[in-house]
Amino acid sequence: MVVTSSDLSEKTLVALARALRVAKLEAVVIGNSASMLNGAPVTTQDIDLLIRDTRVNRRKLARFADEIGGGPPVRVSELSNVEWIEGDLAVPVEIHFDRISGGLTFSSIRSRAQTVVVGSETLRVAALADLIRSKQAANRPKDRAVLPILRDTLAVKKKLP
Amino acid sequence: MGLKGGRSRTAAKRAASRRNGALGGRPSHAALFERSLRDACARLAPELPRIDPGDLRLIVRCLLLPPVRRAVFVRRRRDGRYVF
Repeated sequence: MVVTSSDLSEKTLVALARALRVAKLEAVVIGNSASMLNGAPVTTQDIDLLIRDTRVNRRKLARFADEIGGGPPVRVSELSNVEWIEGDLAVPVEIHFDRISGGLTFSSIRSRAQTVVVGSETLRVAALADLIRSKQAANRPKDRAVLPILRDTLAVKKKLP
Repeated sequence: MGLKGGRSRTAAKRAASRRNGALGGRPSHAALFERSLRDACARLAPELPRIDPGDLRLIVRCLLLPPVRRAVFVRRRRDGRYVF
């Protein structure tokens, strides 16, 4: 049987959701993975998660990393508090703590996030409007490159029943 | 006519399939999906003239797919090449 990229991506999302559930780690999918799940025709090389930075969550994060076959999360750089887990999933996982660009806190993102079913699991996915706001504020070249298609997707989404 | 399922090949069905150019039989999932995509794009295009028709088609296609089918991750292989 031929394994398509779609199968691989689905398996990755199911494994991610399962690991979050097993670790009991409350996380919201952000970044371009969330844009994809919101229907934007984009691709990405990682999965970004937003979590609260608490001692309990740090323990859960270690369990989550173990569940996806990765080692302890490592800092992306000294200038950033984003952490990185390289595991058995098709792509690495980046962990963001408490807030993201655009003054968006975990609570505000979570309050507008939607639940997306992946296989027999579920994921909390940030709203497209929040993703746009965050990318506008971050304003890096890669954010500016993807903003037009995200705005178009939001416009289409509003019109589709 | 001409697109109903089943093995029966009545003269009416054969005539219908000749007329509409289809091979007959039930339309495939891909054909149904393509039809709903085309219909949605035709309906939305006048309302969203600013969006490039190619982009509109890509966006609508993604939105019509179940969320789990929308995701496409780009993976870097050990040899440095990228695969979907």
